[in-house]
Amino acid sequence: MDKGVLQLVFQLSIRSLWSHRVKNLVVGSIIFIGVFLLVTANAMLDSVSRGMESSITASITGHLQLYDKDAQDQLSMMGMMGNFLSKPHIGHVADFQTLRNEIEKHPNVKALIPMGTDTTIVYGGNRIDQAAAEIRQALKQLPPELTAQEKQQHLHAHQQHLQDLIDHLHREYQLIIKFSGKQTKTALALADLKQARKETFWQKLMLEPGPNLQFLETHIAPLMDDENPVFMEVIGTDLDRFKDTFPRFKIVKGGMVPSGQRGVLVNDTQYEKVIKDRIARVFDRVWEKRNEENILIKDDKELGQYVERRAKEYKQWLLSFESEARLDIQQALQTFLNAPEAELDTLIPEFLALSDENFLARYDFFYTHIAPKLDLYPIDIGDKITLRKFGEGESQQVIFYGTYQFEGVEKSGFSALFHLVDMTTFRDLYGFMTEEKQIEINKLKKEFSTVEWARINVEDELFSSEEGLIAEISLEAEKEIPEAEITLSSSQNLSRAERQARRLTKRYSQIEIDQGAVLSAAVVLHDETQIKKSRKEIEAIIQNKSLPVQVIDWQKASGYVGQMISVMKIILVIFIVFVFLVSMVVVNNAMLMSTINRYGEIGTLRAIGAGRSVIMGIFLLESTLLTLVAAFFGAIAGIITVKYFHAVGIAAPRFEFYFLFGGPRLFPDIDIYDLYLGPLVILAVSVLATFYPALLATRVPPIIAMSARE
Amino acid sequence: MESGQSGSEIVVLKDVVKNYPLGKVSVPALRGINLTLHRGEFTALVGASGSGKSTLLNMIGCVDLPSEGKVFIDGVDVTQESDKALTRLRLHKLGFIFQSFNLVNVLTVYQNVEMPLLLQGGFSAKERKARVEKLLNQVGLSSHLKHRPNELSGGQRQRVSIARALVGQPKIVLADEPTANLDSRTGKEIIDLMHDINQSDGTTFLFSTHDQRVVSRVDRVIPIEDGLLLPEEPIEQKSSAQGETQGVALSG
Ligand SMILES: Nc1ncnc2c1ncn2[C@@H]1O[C@H](COP(=O)(O)OP(=O)(O)OP(=O)(O)O)[C@@H](O)[C@H]1O
Ligand SMILES: [Mg+2]
Repeated sequence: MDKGVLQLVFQLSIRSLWSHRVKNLVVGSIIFIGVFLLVTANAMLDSVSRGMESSITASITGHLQLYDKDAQDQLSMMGMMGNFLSKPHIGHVADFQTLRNEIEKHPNVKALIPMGTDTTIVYGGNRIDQAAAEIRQALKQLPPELTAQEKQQHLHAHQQHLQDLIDHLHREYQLIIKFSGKQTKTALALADLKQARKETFWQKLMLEPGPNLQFLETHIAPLMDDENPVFMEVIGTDLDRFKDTFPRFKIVKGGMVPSGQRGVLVNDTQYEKVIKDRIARVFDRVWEKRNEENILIKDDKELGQYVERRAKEYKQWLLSFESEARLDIQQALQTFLNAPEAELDTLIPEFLALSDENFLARYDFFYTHIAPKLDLYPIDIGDKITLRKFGEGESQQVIFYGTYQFEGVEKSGFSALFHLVDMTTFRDLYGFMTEEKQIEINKLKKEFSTVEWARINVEDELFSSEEGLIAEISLEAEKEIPEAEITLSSSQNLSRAERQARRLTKRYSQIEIDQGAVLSAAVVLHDETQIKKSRKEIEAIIQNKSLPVQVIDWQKASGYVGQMISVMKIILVIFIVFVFLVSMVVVNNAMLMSTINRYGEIGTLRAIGAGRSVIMGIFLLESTLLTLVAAFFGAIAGIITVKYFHAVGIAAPRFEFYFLFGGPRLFPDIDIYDLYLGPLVILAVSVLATFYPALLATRVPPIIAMSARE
Repeated sequence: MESGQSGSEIVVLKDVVKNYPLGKVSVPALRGINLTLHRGEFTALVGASGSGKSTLLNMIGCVDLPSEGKVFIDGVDVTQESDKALTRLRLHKLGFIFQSFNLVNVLTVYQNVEMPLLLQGGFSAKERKARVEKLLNQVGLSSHLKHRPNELSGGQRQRVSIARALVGQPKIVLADEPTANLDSRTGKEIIDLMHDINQSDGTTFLFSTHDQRVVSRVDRVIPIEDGLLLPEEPIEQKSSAQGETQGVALSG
């Protein structure tokens, strides 16, 4: 187009935009709102997904995951949406070592971390196990040359505690026999209990702790109910390399699992919010709401109900205080609540009737007077805990060394999902036959009689089994527990318990950790912007070396978290389409009206010699200018809004939102990239929506000018 | 592109017929027009309402095409041309003065007049300014450059319209009842202005009217009736009184 024509087109567009300013202001406002919403929503969503992406890639999945190329299902570390317990069949990779060697050759690969996820159940401490462990520890401190009697004197308190527990069990089992008759299972239990009540048993125990403590652990402890089981999703991994590779990993309480050793790290958020004493958690929750979210009990109906409901569980406390503690607490509470005569079982419910007015004082009182006497956490740092594979009964003892968290996303749902366990224990749990395990099984087979072997390995089957040997044992058998059975393993060989104890602190070499099967492996990259390129290259390596794995990106690997991001993106797309349609209709209508209103003017222009392209130009320029100006201000408003929320944050309305927000507040930020989308979409809409009316305008015949009235 | 006319002929119509379709029948508006206009002529097309004046002017103005026959503008048969070529032809060779002025209200007086120059292209800002200002001076509106059309009287608007029609230096200026929306005094002034311009720079004018009084000013009167041209009567003297008598005689 000629310069003069352009000038005319500009002149006419701007002039008519201005002269129809009220109408254009309305159209412009709608475009403004559309762009504003798009820019804001896009920035928020991007912040959420960027945050989630970095949280996930920097804490759990890495950037890519490698897993069995012949897997039936797709790898999904966090399960499918709403279904944590049904595990996909993802096969396994038998030889991690080779995989690591090959993949880590790629220059952008920071590390390849072995992984596997599984659901386990942890039975809170068994009191007999705990007491047995304590007495074993105490015995080691004593000079070995002491006589049994001397040792018994030293360890009187320990022995008494165990004997109390055994007496308690004995009474219970006598009652069971009374009411449900002589069943094999009960009879066998009573026989064991009787054995443990003998004075000679304790003398032998002092001299030969190994086999006798083992008897307590394998025969007596199972008779005692464990505390409530806790489901634990674990990630089995090379803990040392996990710590060094994932930047968000941080130990909170206790310490790191000693290098190369077996051990479990409990997720700190779960430790505080799931494992901790149920009533203590009430104090924590109210405190948190009050201080972090400024929400009082009276403001939050749900919180109020929660406080009331939990207060009804006060009996749990009564049971867990030891007798001395009971008195102390009773006295302190009597003074605190100004009720000198009251008993503990009326004082505690009264104490737990929390309100916004009394909360701070009671919170303080709880943590200074009650908490120290309470078993605040059923598993304590340093405890040996037993992880049992969910549904299959395979179990492993490990030491709980400490709690960890992923920094910055501590409270978001997904990062609080997993506990970490060392790779060796994971392999044992998962049922991979390791060399070490094979050797041990062979040893055990040699050491123990068939009876004992059956007892150790399939204790559950033992009692329900129809096998003659067990069925023959009657109540009379009580007297005839073969001594040999207990002393058998006291030979020069280490007892199973002792070997297990050794295993707990054995240091495995890097090669031992790397050799063996994994479920998947996380690829952590140096430069995450190169993820697509690196993925292709890694796939090429896999192809070349015919490694038995396939590659999946973090989004897919994370399972429902990735799906969540996709769902949000779909919602954004629907939203964009909606804004698109609304703007389309509005702009189209406005331009059609404009064509009709300016029929005469267009005819005149055509008559005096303006070509169709001039008319088209005027219309397109008008809507483009209008859109650009409105979109510009819409984008500015979006930036200001996002920046504002960046400064103050958006509070998560509910705990569930922590997952999306990456914490209690979302701090969205805007990226240049977020700014393109809104204006571009609207501009495209405007041009499209103008095209048809403009086309109609170019078809206005010049003869119209002749009859046009002003 | 057939011409067949000598250099002084600017418009030639040959057997032009125009029928307007009206439902199933077609209304004949022009029924075989043969007409030649020469350079520098100041001509009035006179006829009763519905006689076909506007239709004829539209043919010459290239905003409509005849049903039959040929229209030559400056030697070019416009019935054979594309829309694009006709647009160019209107831009460069024709000027229009409309009954209802047809100024672009969103532009100033100056910008309205400048429009054809911008569309034609190739003029510097200076040239445009000189031309526009000269013409607006000529029509007596040099003090109204920045005004909007709707701030002017009817007569003033028509002056702007005249300036706009002339600024591109057309071969012929067409005006369909340029005075119909004006009172008789102002109408007369407009015709006088057009005549003055015709006299001073020789621009060819063709305008239609049913006002007999203007006939006194013109070189030539073309009478039209029911879509046919009547024989022209030569004009001996341009005296106002004579013109008026003649006009009365012609009016039907
Ligand atoms: N667009 C059209 N469609 C149908 N018939 C038309 C159209 N334009 C004009 N006519 C008819 O053609 C004939 C000539 O009309 P035209 O407008 O040319 O007359 P005119 O001399 O300009 O009249 P006036 O002085 O009222 O303007 C009339 O009978 C009219 O009804
Ligand atoms: Mg007419």
